Formats: sequence, C-alpha cells, structure tokens
Amino acid sequence: MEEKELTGKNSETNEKNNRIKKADIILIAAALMIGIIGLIIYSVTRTKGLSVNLYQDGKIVKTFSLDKDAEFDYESDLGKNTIVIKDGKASCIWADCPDKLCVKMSDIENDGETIICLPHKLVIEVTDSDS
Amino acid sequence: MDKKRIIGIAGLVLATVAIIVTLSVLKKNKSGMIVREKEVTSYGFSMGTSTTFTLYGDDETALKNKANALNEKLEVLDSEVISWRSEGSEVARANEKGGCLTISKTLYELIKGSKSLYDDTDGALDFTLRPVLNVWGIEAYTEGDDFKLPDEEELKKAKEKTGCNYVSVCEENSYENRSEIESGCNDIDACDTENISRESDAGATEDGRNTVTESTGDSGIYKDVDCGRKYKLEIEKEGITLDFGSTGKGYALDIIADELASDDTVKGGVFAVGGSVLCYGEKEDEAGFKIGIRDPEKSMNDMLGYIKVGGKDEGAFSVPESGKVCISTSGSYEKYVDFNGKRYHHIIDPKTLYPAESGLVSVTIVCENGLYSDGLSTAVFIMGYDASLEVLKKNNAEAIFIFEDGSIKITEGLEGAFVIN
Repeated sequence: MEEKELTGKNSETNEKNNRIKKADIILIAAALMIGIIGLIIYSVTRTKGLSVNLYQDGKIVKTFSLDKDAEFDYESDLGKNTIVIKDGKASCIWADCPDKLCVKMSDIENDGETIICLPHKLVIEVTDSDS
Repeated sequence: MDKKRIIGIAGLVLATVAIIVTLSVLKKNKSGMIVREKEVTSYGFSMGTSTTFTLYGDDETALKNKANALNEKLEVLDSEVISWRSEGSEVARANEKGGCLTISKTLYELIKGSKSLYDDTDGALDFTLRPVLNVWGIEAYTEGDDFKLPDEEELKKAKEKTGCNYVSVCEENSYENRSEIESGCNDIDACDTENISRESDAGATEDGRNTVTESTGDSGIYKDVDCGRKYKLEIEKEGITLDFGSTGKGYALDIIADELASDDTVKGGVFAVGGSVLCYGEKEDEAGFKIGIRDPEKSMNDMLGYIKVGGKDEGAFSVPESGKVCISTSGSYEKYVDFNGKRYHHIIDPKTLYPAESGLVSVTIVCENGLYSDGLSTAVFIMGYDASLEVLKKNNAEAIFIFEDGSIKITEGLEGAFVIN
C-alpha cells in the first residue's frame, strides 16, 4: 500500500517537472520521519493502559481515563466502593464489603490488570482497548 | 513553488498519514501485520467466586455469546447441582434426604472424582468436612467479628458427622448387559433409590429403579440418564454433609473444556474460576499462555513468577491432545484470622481438625484434569511436600510448593516451564 501511494503521487508530480528536486527528497524523508516518530509515540503510550472499565455483575457500568486523576464512589444495591485514579494508577481505597480484599489489592496500571470486589460483584479493569 | 508541486506535497503528506493509520490499526490488533484472531474478556460471578474468561477466535460476536453462555452454564451448575448452600440443588437435597438416591451424571462424576482423591490422599481431601469447617467459621469470618477459638469437644463432635467412606456412587446400566457396566452397585442395589436429579423427575417410575428415563428438563444439560446408564448415590450415615468447595471449581473447568471441545468458535482461551485456571487450545500466534503465581508474602497483585503453557517457547508446559491444562492454587494467605498472635487459616486438616501445618504457604498444581488440580492443591497443602509426591505422580500432576521460609520447590515436569520473576 505504501509503495502504490507513493509512486502514484510521484508520477503525477513528475509528469510536469520531469525530475525530483533535492527539496522533494528532504520533504519525503521528513514526512516519513514524522510518521515513524508518531508511530513510536503511539506504541509507547499504548503499552500503558489508557482507560479503566468498571464492571458490575459482568456488565460495564462506567469507563474512565487512566490519565486523568479522579475519585468517585460507586454504589450498587450490593454496596459501595470508593475508587481513585491517581498518577496513572487505579485503586479501590474504601469499601463497605465484609472482607475488604478489594482495598487490600495493590494499584493497577497495566493492560489486563484487575481489582475484584467479590461481595459487590465489582471488577475494576485497566484496558488498552477503546471500546 | 508552483501549484503542481503543492499538490504533490499534499499527496505525500496524505499518503504518510494513511500509512500511519494503517500501521496503528494493525498494531492495535496485536497480531503483527495480519488481522486474524479476536480476543474477548468477560467477568462474572458464579460458584461463589469471581470468574474471568478470555477467549480467542475469529468471530468477536460469537466469542461474546460463548462467554455469556459459559457463565450461565456455571451458574446453573452451581445452583442446580453442586452448591450445598443453594436450596434445591442436588447436593442440598442429597444432604437433606441421605440414603439411596438417583443422581445426575454431572454429580456422579464429581463425587466419583472427589472420592478417588479422598482415597489417594489418605483422607486429606475430605468433602464431608463441612460440620468441622462450620465450627471454625474462618471462611465466613469478616473483619470486626469476634473470633472464638473452637473447643476440642466441639470439634470432635463435629468430626463424628464426617467421613467420605460413608458416601458411595455407582453407575448402572438398565439394559440387558448391565452386569458388564455395573461398577460397585451391589451394595447400593440393596436399597431403593429416590430420584433427586431434577431433569428426570417426570420420567422416573415410583421406585426410581431400572427405568430408562428421558431427559425432560428445559436445558437438558444435567440429565441423569446416559445411553441407558443410571447413576446412584448412597449416603450411609445420618448427618453427612456433601460440600464440594475444594473440587467444584476445578470440576467447572472440566465442564467448560467439554463445552469448548464441541464448538469451534473458540480457538483457545484462559478460564479462571476463583483459584483454578484452565488454559485451553492455542493462543493467537501460538505465543502460549503465561499464568502468574502470586507471591504469598506480598500484596494481591504481586506475582512470584509464572508458568508457561503451550506455544513455541522452549521449556513451556506442553498442552496434551485434549487441549486442556488446569492450574489450581491453594494457600494460607487468602482467608485467615489473626488471633492472640497466631494465624488461623481456612484449610483445615481432617486428621488434626486444626488449620494444616505442613510448612507450606502455597501449593500450585498443574495437570490435565480440573477436578484433580483443584482437589490436589488442597490435599497437598494439608499433606505437605514429602507425603504428596507419590500422589502427584499417580495422578500425573505437577506442583509448585512455596514454603514458610520463602523457599520454592517444583516437580520435574515444571522445570523450564516455571519462571521466577
């Protein structure tokens, strides 16, 4: 696809000018560089989870960005949890469940990591998918 | 700069953007340059624990449907068959009635497997220990409750209501060749069985014996008749309570695997039911699975290491023909009570009636069968390292032992497959 696009545009340009100037080459290189750098930045940021999904009994009830600090309470008929997002990490800092295992679990920051509150049927998940 | 050149430059920039977007989309699908397999993860709550299913395949919608169907299946399995807590389940009704009963094939297989472990582990795996566990109450203990150390007499009294040797099952063929298939039914035959498996209630005759009953249930999932075979349970002593807390979750993995084997929408997946995990089939790009083992010393998400399963990696635990590898962990660090300077955890030794003291803090079992991996992790935790090696070998199971002093031992079959972080 890359080749096809490039030759297509080049031949169109060459029809009138008949030659590629040095400036054109620099421009092509610059455009490609920007693209590659963009892709690198993209993939680096991608390795960190970008959003936090909150599941109640298997269904997503809320989604947050992991980049933005936040604190909120989530309450269902089973109980209440306080969830904090700080410095790109999510944690459950308070809950009224009996065992408090969700509070004891460490912060999550990578794709696929979860905090689970069994009594409240709550799952906090870090994910890199946008859906 | 003439007009044509500007158009040319604009075209180049557009082409570059197109390349970036294309590469980004490909990258997102995590499968190199070929967008092939999809991944779906679902979270659920059943079998008294949390479940996490990750499925691989081509059709995302089909995978999502399958994940939901599996979650529902486990809920039905728990509420209608396994759970002693769930009123109306086969186990709850068996506990209530006792005596001779006709049961579903599903429950028969669970009891048969659990009983075999009871025999192999010299009673360390005891699925009738519920009265003793209730006296301790560690599983139900929640922070802030008053904890009371049970007294010896109370424990001994509860112990009298236990014993897997009072529980037996058999399978019987209702056709002419029954003598060939019958196994261990002679004793049970002496008494009339009462049918407690739901789906066949309508089809059973009054005495519930030797009748080919049709499955009449809506789902037909847990039928009691299989090609003319019937399944019987006998509980010989009053007060015996069946409780499959230490084998049920692993058994659920076996049921999931059976379900996946008859359906090709799922190429592979990881299915966690509490502390038991099933690695099934192949992961995309044959990368293999990595199953983390928690560090008992540290917080809940800290991994001590991981087990490599399948894939092309050298040393990885190889997946057998069935496509199934089951991994279960039992530990003393999840559910416990600190009382008067001593830690009381939830794994009770049926011999001492006290929390097991075998020098282990965590045991992980790796084997093909889910019921065995689950049951063995509990039993081996109780038996300790030396006493359990033979049992592991007999059942074709591998293990990771983590000791109180932090040292780790693994069985031969896991060398190379277990990687310490």
